[in-house]
Amino acid sequence: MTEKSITEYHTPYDAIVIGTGISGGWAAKELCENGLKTLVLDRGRMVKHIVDYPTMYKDTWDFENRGLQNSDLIQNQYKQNRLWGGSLTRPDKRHWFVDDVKHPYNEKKRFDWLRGYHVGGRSIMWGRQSYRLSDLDFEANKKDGHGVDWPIRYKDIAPWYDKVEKYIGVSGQNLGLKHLPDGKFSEPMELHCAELDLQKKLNENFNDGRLLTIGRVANITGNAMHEGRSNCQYRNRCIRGCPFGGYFSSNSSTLPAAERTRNMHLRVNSIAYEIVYDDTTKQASGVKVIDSETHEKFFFKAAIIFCCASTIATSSILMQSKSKRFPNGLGNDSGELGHNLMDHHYAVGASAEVNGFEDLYYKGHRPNGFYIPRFQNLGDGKTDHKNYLRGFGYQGSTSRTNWKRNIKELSYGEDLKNDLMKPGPWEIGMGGFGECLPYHENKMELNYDKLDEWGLPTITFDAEIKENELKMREDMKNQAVNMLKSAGFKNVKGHLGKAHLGACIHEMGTARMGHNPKTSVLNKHNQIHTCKNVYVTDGSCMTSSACQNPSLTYMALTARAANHAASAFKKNKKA
Amino acid sequence: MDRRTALRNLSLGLGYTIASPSIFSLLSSCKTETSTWSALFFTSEEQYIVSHLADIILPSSKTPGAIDVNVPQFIDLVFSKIETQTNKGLFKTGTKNFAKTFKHQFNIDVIDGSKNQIKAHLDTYFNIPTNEKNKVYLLTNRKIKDIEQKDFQRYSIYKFLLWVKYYTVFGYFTSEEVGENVLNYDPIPGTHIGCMPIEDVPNERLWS
Repeated sequence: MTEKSITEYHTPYDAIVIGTGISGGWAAKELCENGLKTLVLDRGRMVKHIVDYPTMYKDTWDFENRGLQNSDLIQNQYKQNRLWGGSLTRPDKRHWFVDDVKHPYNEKKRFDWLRGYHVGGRSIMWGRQSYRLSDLDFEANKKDGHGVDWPIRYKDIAPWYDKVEKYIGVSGQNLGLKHLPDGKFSEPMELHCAELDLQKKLNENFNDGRLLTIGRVANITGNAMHEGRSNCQYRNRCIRGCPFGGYFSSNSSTLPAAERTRNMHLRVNSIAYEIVYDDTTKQASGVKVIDSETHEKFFFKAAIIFCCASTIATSSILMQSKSKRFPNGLGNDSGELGHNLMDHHYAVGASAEVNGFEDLYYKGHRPNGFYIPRFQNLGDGKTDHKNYLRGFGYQGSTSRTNWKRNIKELSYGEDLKNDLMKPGPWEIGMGGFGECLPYHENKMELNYDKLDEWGLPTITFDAEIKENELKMREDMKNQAVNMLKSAGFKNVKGHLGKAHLGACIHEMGTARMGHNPKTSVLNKHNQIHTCKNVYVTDGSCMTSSACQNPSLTYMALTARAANHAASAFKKNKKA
Repeated sequence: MDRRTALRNLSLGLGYTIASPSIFSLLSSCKTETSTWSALFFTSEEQYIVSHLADIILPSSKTPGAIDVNVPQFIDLVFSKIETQTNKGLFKTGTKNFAKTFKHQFNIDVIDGSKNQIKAHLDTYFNIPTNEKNKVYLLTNRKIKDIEQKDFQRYSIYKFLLWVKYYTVFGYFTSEEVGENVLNYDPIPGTHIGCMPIEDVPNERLWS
């Protein structure tokens, strides 16, 4: 593509944040609250809290054809449609997922890249499960030699976990576990009767410390104040956007906070494609942007740049930022940029029928399930007997079956009708979330032969799980079966699907943190080692994946890095 | 069907209020239960059979039945707008074969058959021992291209009947009337109780 003329803005911002998702929202809030004039970019459309949640109040019968849709309608979302039986492209939420024809990518090996190009990004659709990493995780690479050592330890991030949990609102139960640290939680949601039963049975039947707790989830409970938001109303329609602000999203929380400072300039439809490196200052001078609608190009300058565009997009921008000093992408002296791509591997677990409890039910739609924290290879002697490294946790839930329970059976009549109006038998399902080791050869590349509508290179994925993960998956299935059987549940069925990277939507690791510029991209403050005014705080910074859902860690690292950047900026200003 | 129900039923879908030329006759002649609406997909024979089957699968009693919440219209809509060409064709073949075996049993055309006769004929397919049912599920879980000629009639009839069963139950329980007034409708619960006695739930029915 020929270089079109570019409009240069001469007045620099104090900071630019690329992306408005779970990380970008936090960067915007912290930088703006520190007084920095901040340009916040998003490549997609505006989504205003409440105003732009078109399906938030709809019941099934409010949707055309009760939400059933012709497969022709979703052809342009054929990759977004691959997960969870196509549920992400149903009419209640398909507007949050990209058009795969307009936004193509390439797969040497299957990689599910689920994206939302709009303000708030995937913070609107995220699963909200919020768990801290511990020193078991931060020390893992160093101990077993995979990847490189994390340049931080739990004590470095703990205060930031505190700050983030208090601000976003996380409900959960403190357990005093060393490998799954306690947090600043509001009151936990309740377990269902059958879950309480499993909790008791696990305690009785296993001596390796495994336990069941209610999920730690970023939905508000209790009495704490959260500006502009109220408690979870138990509708379990979070993914549509919540009119109550009952769960955390950038749109409901961090972006309004940044807005209130009057220091934020939010620019939508702005595709960042290059960070410009200035050889004289040895720093980045700004960000080049294409307007997605007009295809006009702009160059915005700033003293500090935060990359929060999501793992793949951030790494792609850095790889596209080629200069004399960095011919292979900004900060890529190590050659690790775009490598070590990880996700959690899942689609493995067990389900069963639960006998009894027919006289018990629940009220409200709990947007949460139970959690069984990791109980393998904890370094305590008792759990270190596995034929694989690292470990996994489980998420699951119980429910009473509803009218769908025999919808495919040969039966009819008034008794059937009356029966289907009542809650059916209890059932339980749980799935593992396993750690994925960082492998250099698991990578993303830029494909300059296949450009998108804006003349930018598309991304090609070449990554897969390997032997350690495959062995772990066997255990993930077997332990799930063991637990459900030992609880006395009936018709226990283990399942072990194929793990495609990306499918857990926890992709991470392509611009990792580390001690050494020769083997990593970022330092302990999330700065590019060799270009310190560029910070990377989304999933690409992760040195290892651990097995916990990662968003809380992205937020804590972002808040920490933004305050580091802001205090350096203010110090410089005074000097 | 009373006039009130007919009026309420009009809210089923905009497609119907525009597509149906007989909308005024529907309002002025609220007598027969099954043939007062113009189908988008069904032939009159299909409409007759599906309406009776839906009525038999979820009959009206103290609570509304499938006909009361426009299930036949919903199934017509699904096959008109949602289902694949292959399934549309198979649905039609299955209905024809059902009509054929009906005629074989009663020696009259199904369109002249009574609800009781259709029910009796349905029983020959539904009211069978469990091991026979399991064979049916194995058969109907197969793809159409894998079905041998000798099994095809049986396959098509069961596909048709199980579609009617599926969409009758689906259409019934996703209707506004059932969702709001039959099941326990609580769109903004406000609280969550993890474990409560079922007798504290109205009519001990599902939350919708």
